[in-house]
Amino acid sequence: MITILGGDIICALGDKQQRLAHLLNGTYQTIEKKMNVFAEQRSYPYYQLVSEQPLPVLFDPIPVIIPVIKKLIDKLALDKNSLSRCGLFLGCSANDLSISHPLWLNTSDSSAGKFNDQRVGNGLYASQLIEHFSLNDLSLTYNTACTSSANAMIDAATMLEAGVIDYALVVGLEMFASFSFEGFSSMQLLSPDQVSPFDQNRQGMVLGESLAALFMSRDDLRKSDWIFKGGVNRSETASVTGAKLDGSGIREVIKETLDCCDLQAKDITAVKTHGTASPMGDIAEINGMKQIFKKQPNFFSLKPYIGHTLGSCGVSELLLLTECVGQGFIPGTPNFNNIDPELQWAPIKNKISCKAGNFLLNYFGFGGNNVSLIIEKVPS
Amino acid sequence: MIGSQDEALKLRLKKMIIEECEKDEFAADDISDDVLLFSPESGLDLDSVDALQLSMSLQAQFNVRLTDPKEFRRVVTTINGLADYLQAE
Amino acid sequence: MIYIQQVALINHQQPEDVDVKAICKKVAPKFVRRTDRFIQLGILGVAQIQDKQAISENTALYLTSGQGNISVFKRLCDYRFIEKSPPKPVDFINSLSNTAGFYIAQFLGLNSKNNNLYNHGFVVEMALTLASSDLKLKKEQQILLGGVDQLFEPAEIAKQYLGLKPDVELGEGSNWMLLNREKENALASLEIITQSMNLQQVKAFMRSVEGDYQVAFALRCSELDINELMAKAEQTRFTYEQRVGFYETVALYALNNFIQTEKGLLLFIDYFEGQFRLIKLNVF
Repeated sequence: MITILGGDIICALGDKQQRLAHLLNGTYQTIEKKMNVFAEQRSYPYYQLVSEQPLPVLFDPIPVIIPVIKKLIDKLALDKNSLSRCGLFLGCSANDLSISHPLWLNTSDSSAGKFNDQRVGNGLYASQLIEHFSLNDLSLTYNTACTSSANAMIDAATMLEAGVIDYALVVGLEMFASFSFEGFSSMQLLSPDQVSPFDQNRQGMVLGESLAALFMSRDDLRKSDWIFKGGVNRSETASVTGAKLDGSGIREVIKETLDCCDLQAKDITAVKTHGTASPMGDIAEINGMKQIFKKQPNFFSLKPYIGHTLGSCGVSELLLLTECVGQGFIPGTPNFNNIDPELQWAPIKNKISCKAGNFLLNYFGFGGNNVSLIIEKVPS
Repeated sequence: MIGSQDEALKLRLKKMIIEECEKDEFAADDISDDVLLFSPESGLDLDSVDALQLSMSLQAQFNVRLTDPKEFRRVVTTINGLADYLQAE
Repeated sequence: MIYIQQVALINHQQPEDVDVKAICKKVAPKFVRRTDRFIQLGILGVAQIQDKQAISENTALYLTSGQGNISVFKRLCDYRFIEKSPPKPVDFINSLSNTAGFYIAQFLGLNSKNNNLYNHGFVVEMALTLASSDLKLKKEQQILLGGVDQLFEPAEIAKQYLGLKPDVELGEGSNWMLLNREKENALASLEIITQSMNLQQVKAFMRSVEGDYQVAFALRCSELDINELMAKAEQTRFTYEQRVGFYETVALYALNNFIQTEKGLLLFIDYFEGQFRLIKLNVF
């Protein structure tokens, strides 16, 4: 069995104590970010990460995540030998800053943008972490939009099961990127005020930043009360911008996930939805779930707490879920007020008590990339 | 002059649609003035991503902001309809 | 052990002379709209495989690349800073690198696992390691694994970020392998040596390989290292270098080129920043 040993996250909710308080109370904090669209100035809410030290808008995430990983290594007592057998799987929806920033500067100012160091390019974040922590060289960086770090977890589990590695560090990184911010605005997918998943009046997504890290292993090496039961990635190609509205693609990925975990819908304690509050995306997700669950399961969205953290949401939202269940609850979904007649189903509005069970986690992205995972919390 | 009477404006709109939606196989003359652009009858086979491309071009070229699909469908009907919206008199 | 059922090679030594869109228009006319050169290269690559063998819809797609669709990122920068325009929806969509995987899957009619993978230096080996694990555990029946790299212009910038000398010629390519666990009808078997090595370890490994075999080297291998490794070796060298310009997934071209033209065993020696990685290929 694949075990989830533990992780940590830097997101808009603050430190662990603050995070849990927000998740218990259904509260969150956003800032306003502006952009120019031709002559017009637009303003959208944004979930900016709260770190110990203030960070510039464009920052290198590696020095920020290193202390987080270091603390985890100490807490989990992973020695040198264990780390040398630990592969790294990293999900990020943007190019590494080391390559995109000089290209950007080169366009904006032809005198700038020299690559000072030859070590640039996608995959560099991973290689910097490998070098810093003397991890195993086995590493993959995932760029499948909103499913990036969810896919990273699935493949980490595969490599662990195959015995290629004994430990896996899975990292999700998403920092503010103006192209994403402006691109989602061009796609008319951003909400002007708040993110209200599954609500009748939902207006779209709100983006957010998050840096998250998680260690996985096998139960023959490391026991844990969190088990990674399995996950499936299935693409659907009806539309480049997302899943089919009838939910057939989503049904398929959930069904295959249940099958690969030898579970049935009735075994699922609660569902962490993708729940971006995009008018169409939420319809597709509910339509998909309706074809799996005979009656409405307990489900919730974490997007109102940390925003849509794109490539990082795979690891980030899994971690938040484990933290909540670790404290004996499943969080409610803030900003939900009115049932959408087209959906009929409603997410958990306020937290409910929960200490163990099987949890289904959904992640769907551009490019028709659908992922579902199941994790289990064994009663302590 | 109301937009639907302005041949130059209508030609500009047709060229914009062909360019932004990458419909290279169409000439401006192939697009009728009074057929719904987002209908099977237009033969253009346009979808929601085309609508987004056109929304951005309309804002860039005509300073018109169409924030959601409903508003887009209200404004971007036929070439005549769109031209009249852009140039009411 | 994994088996290679089919291969596809697209290799442009002078990319600027090739009108990829025009070729794509002939091969996949419905896939010219909204796609760009990076995506079209991918489609042209898998089309070669499809011409030889029907690809079942559950075939997983692993797309690797050095830097992905970096040209569209550059185009977005041009819009933003020169034309003062936000990203156009189609460019924004294409800037998400797995969009190439989407169009390739759509072209092939796939309904399967779809991955977009990177690694700093050894993306081909890492993706093959994953593919090998997925096949071994029977998580996937069949995997279409490819590398797509498009010439980035201006080339001077690309040479900087790739850490190449100014006199290195750049190429581009889209090279694919159809992989499964079945030896029957396979063109070759492939084995990834998972641990990275230093020069001495490579020497020792070469000595340990039984029988006759050929050796091919990555374009990043220095002549010094190649000479040292080949000095006392009895193996012959398989050269492909004269047929390619540099691109990051060129290893797949080298392997596929060997499969197309040779028989027997090949040891491919890849190199990046002081580390070597090895792939063993046995062509039937």
